[in-house]
Amino acid sequence: MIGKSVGCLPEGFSDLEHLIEEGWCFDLWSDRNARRYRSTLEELDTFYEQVFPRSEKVLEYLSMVPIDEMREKDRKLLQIMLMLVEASFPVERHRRPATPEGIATERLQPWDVGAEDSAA
Amino acid sequence: MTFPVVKNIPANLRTAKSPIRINPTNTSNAFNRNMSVISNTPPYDYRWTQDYPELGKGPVSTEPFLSPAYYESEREAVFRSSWLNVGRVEDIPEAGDFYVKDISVCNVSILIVRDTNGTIKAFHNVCKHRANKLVWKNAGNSSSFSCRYHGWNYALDGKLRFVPDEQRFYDFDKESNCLLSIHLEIWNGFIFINLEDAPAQSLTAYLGDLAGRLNDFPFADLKAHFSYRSIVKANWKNVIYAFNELYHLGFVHSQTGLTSMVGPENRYGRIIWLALGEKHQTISVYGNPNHKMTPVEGLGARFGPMFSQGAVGGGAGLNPGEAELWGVDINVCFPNFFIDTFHGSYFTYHFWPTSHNETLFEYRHYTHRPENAAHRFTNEFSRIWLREVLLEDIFCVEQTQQGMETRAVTEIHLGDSEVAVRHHMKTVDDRVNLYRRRGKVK
Repeated sequence: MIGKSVGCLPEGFSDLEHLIEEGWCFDLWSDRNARRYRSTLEELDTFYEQVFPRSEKVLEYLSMVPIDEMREKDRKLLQIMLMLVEASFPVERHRRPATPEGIATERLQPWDVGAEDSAA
Repeated sequence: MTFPVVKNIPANLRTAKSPIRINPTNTSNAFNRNMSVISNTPPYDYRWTQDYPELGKGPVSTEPFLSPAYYESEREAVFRSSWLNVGRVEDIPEAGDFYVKDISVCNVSILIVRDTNGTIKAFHNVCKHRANKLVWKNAGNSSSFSCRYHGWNYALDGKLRFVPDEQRFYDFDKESNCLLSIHLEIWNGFIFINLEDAPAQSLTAYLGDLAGRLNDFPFADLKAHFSYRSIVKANWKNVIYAFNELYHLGFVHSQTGLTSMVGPENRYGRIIWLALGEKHQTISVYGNPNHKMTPVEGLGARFGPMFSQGAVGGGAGLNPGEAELWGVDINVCFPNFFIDTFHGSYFTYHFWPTSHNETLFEYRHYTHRPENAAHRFTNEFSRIWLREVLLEDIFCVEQTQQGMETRAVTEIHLGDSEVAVRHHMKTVDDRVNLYRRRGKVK
């Protein structure tokens, strides 16, 4: 397994490539949410601690990438950052994977073909 | 673990002021009445309820949230006699684009289509032959509509074009068997329909002051970015009333960081500016200038506007009361449509009753299309933050419905921060009572 993701992220971010192999990159928001819910808080903390210190550099890089000109490598890097958003709620606020006193996330579904990022 | 400390977030991102522009058409009575009062600055102790003596101040009955008979009256008195928003013009940009909106409270399936002239029309989505539902898809593009049952074919403007084996019908006139049209009007890109035989008011008259306050907001520049939908096990008004008061923020949302809208100057969600019209409402919400962002939230704020940004000042079509510490306007278009306007984005809620104790809740988020991949990260933060908030709100209102259904408590108390709840309840109740007395709405 190790090394399979070499070169999957833009230059300068190879230290984050192991996160792809560890299954933190998803096309769909529902998959990111499911990843959060099946992880332990410790796993989410570890993911957060690995990504957050690098996130300023990552976002500075991504801010130079026009949304319609993302390469596959850029998309994978963005997906790590989108997972950071999902993970930030349990890590920074709830201190548990699930939202306390909330309905199940599956009950809130993207529904609208007109909204371009509804499922992504 | 402890939170990493966020550095390098310029303070002006949290407190940036945008130029406030007041729409000169903002001349509602409520607007004039309140501008002379120091109400829009801390400690926000102005008592709004005194401006609306007709609303009363006492406890109100829980019966409208529980009674199937009351709900049956609401179907006619409220929903079939109001202009209802069913989407935006950008949803169907090209000729032949269509979508279907099933509205169970009105017992109607509506086909909304852009015809070859670019005109948007609404029809009952029912074939004139055997009353089958004409279009079975939710949305798409088509040059005409053919019924799947026996192939009757209609043009985009509703005209019946082709009947297979037409000569086998008796005294049949194609011309008089167009699709049944539904009244449709458009305001600021928002598509509204009306199911009255003849609408009592034009859409413009119906919207009244609300349209004046929102006319300058740049709706057309913002694009639908994502949406959520949920079936909520609660009366539609119980769901609505979790969204037109801020009193609950510090409690229901204590973990999700709505400290952007609660702060030392305003701990309990007091209204900072208010206009209650004949039907509609605008409630301006406090923005905390010292909102402490979490680390990831702070990162997001660097690459685009976010819902959770705290006090931002305003902008075109925003902050009609010129409140200094402003965060968002909640615009309630009676009976069931919200437009919550932020700096650089807005979202809509629709609350569609499906029974006396169940509601289809729809949410749509509109913002600038991300220019770059980092901006997409910022939009994602707003999206997930709102989702977390909605998970909490829906959980809470289902508890409210369950509590009410025990009938242990049959009257509820509404404070000054909940005056918009009182106003909406009374607007509904007046219509229901009139309908019950006269057997009709008008």
